[in-house]
Amino acid sequence: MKQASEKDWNSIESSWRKKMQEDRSPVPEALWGKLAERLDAEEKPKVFLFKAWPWAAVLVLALGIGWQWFLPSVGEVAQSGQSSPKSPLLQSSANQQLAISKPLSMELNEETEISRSATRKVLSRETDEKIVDLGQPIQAKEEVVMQQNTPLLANLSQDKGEEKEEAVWLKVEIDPVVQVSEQENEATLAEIPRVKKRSFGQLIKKIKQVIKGNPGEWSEVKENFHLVAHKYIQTEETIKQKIQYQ
Amino acid sequence: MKVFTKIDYFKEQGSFEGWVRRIMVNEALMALRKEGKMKFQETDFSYEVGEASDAMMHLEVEELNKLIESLPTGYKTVFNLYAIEGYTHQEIAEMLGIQEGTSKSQLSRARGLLQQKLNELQV
Repeated sequence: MKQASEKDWNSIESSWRKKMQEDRSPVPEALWGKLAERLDAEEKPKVFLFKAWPWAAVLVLALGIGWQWFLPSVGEVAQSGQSSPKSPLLQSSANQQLAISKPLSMELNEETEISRSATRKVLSRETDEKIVDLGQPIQAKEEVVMQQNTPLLANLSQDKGEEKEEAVWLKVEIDPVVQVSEQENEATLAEIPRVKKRSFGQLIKKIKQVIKGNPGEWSEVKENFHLVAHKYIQTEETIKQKIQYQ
Repeated sequence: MKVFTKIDYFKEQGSFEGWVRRIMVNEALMALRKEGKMKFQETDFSYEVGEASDAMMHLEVEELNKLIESLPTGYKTVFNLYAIEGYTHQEIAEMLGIQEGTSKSQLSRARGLLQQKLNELQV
């Protein structure tokens, strides 16, 4: 009984649904006008925001430029912080770790390149430090380790048990002294006579004063004479050293 | 309004009419919630409804609309969603945040009330 009434109701509701869907009630014309008004009202704030964007961008740019203009010290500090070189020890250790972390059975070229770069960086750091400390040329030796796995790789498919590794040691002698260009060399050489000329000119002045009749400065003339002679000897020695380096 | 402003969201996966219909239903339910008229008695009890008469089949759309409009908001909402829009009780329960049984009981009450009103009109 209940099921029958349910079925009846379902059939009636489906017929109502069809009627409702087929029904086309006319839309009043005023409705479209109201809709258009409301849509325009909603769009206005968007237009304002869209127009405000360029001004906001200009303001941000102006603030950024002003910040850099009025506070140059901050930028300099930041630049100096950025330009400070990374400690070579850390770099070399990082590279060494990279070289160590790679398995030995990897490709030959990759392995040799990594180990070479690691040893080169360590050695260059050492040689630089020695030049700064001692001021004498030191010949550095670069040791390159080449582990040849080519026979192993070639025979890998045939016999995995017979793994042979050959190590080839290459010693490359590299002069760590950086070559100075000719212009730089001329500039350093030109500075030495200038110093000499300055002290030599002072000495001549003092001698002239003594000749004119000012005996009180005779002791100063002597001191200057010694100074000039000492500087002359020093410059000669430095020039000789430079020539030897080259 | 919503149809015009959200037209960009319409992906041509279903029919445009269905999309518009869904928007209208959702908006209507939101409006009812705002007005605080969405109150249902959480009962699982379904009323027994009498057999539908043939006169119901021949009702015009205007008459039908008037009849449905005379129902209380809770009954009207469930009846519209089930009978006119074709949603299932499960869907109605999810949309209104009620139990499925509540939706069924609301529908049977709406049917009973409609039948009663129709009988009164015929008499």
